[in-house]
Amino acid sequence: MIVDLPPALLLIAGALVVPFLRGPLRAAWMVGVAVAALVNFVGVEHGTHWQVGVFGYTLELGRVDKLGYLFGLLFHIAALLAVIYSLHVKDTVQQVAALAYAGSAIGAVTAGDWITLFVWWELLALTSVFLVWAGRSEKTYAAGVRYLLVNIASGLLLLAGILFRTNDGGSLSIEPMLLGDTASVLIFLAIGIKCAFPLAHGWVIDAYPRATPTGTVFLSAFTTKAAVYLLARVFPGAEPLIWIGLVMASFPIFYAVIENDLRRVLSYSMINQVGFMVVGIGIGTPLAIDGAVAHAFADVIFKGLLFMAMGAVLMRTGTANGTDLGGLYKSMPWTTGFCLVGAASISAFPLFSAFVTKSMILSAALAEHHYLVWWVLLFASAGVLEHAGIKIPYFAFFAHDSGKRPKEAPWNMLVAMAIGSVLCIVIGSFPSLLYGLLPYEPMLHGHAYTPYDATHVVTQMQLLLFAILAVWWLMKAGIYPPEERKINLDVDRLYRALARGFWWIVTVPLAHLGKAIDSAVLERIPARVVAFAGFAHAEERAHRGWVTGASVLIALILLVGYLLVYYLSG
Amino acid sequence: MHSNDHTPPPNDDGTRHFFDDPVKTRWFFRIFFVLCAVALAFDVLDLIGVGYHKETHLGAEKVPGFYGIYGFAGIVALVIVAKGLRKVVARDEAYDDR
Repeated sequence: MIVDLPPALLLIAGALVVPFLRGPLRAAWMVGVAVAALVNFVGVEHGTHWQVGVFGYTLELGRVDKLGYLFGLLFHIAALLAVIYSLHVKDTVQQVAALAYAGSAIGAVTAGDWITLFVWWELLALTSVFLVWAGRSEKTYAAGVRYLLVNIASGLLLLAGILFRTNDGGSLSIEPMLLGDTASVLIFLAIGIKCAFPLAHGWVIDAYPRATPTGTVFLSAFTTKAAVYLLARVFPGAEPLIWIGLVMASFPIFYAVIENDLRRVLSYSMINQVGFMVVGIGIGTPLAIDGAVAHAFADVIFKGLLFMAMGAVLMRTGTANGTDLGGLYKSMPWTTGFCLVGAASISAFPLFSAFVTKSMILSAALAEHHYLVWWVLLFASAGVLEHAGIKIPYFAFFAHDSGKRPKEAPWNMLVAMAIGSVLCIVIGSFPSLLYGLLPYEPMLHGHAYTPYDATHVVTQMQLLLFAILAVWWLMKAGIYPPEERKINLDVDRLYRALARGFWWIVTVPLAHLGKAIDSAVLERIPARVVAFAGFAHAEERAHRGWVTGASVLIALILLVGYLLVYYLSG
Repeated sequence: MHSNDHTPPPNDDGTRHFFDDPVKTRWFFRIFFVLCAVALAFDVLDLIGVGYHKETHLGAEKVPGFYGIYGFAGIVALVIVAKGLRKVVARDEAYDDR
């Protein structure tokens, strides 16, 4: 290592300097910081570093083992690519937030104790929300607030879990735990929110498509993958994860077929890919865990690449809607080519990255006789090809010519996409490079796992080619649903409806109730008592009566909820 | 996936982009269909025991062309169910502005 500092602090410190620099100097600084942090991290020795004693607790600011190193390395690479991709951006808020966000993610995957993790966990939310707000419209502001609420809620659940754990005499050190007691359930739910478990996934599809073109590239890399890391660290082999992961891998592919906003398609695609990882962690065998984290590594790069391509399209044309795009390959050939590499990688074509990572999860499922899991994941694999492999590049760059002839993406975007493409092909073509970094040596039936055998290549090509054939036939037969200028209801809108309902309850019936209590009880208390108790004047009270009444009631509900949890767990 | 029902006029310099050229498009799809046939042919080799042996774990995998059939049928089912889903969940873009 170059400097004796916890790795996360390098990027954070670098972020704090950004506002004081201008123009090319700032750009050079951002790339320099990202490169220096990467070089520094590569040299960090495995082990526990930077232990600090606070109030009798030992905080481990840097624990680097194989799992932490893999994710740390991945996050450094992702940060560098995203920084290069966003070099043209002249927005201090975004630049500071992006570097600090990447630093927080690195902090989370190198934290050795729960307190340190909690701090990084909340910083992940606080830093990244500015990438959503940077859209600077009413819609992005509202989406950012929703994003923040959900992610902070995850942090509060985590904190509650940590408190329950220490209260029960549990250690602060982050170790695997069995899912069962209150502490473990709370921590599981906290991770689940950031991991976009079904029903908790609304924030991903709500906020990611609304962030800036460059912001989404950062967002797609860190939060959900930090959650995957923590699941692999704390809950390997927890069976519910298999079923949760299966739902995640399958339901988004249906939404992806009919979604018009291509960045929202990619957000569904992200949930689908994280689903594969969650299944792998749930299966819990060394091969399955290896598959899950290797797939996380591959996914950050190919999903980043796809978000980069769509970000370039959005920047150049002002839209990412399938209905308004098409034919862009004519004027954006490089972006098209890089997008196709990302599409081939996520679809798991031989020589491309997911071919050597996702297959470990499917092989592990078969080896453990999880046959239903295998059938569903194989179906989901075909579904990935449909939405990310075909739909994304097809509707953006080919399909019917939209007549748009935007300029090719700026050079810095092309450089970032080129590096991402090379990484996708290197991982897919030389898998031993990645396999050497995995927590376990990938083994299947007592032999080293080999992705490249004749059967795997032939069966995978058959699956993919005939899935493409099916799309071709469905389009030719007029069955394939055309893109429509529509939005699709999902839980994000359900939550917003519930929130509106809650607001109505507070502002209408509860407000009336508050006023009724005021006039029936409070205003009849003799004036002397009122004066003695120091109550406000009657007209002032009537003015804010409903606010007080409602907040007392909310506090009461929270208190009752807390007591319930406390007694049920006791 | 490109229908050849319309052929855009050539560029000013007389060239055509790849998929605007019916000849190139036709070749593109010919090559694609040949690849599909080749992928299927391996299962024939497996069946007659020449040059390729399919390693299988499940009975279903032994069916010749299983992966091709599953991929094709999976996508058709996916798209048809998704069309049904659209009927239930699709709303006008103005829905958010209510």
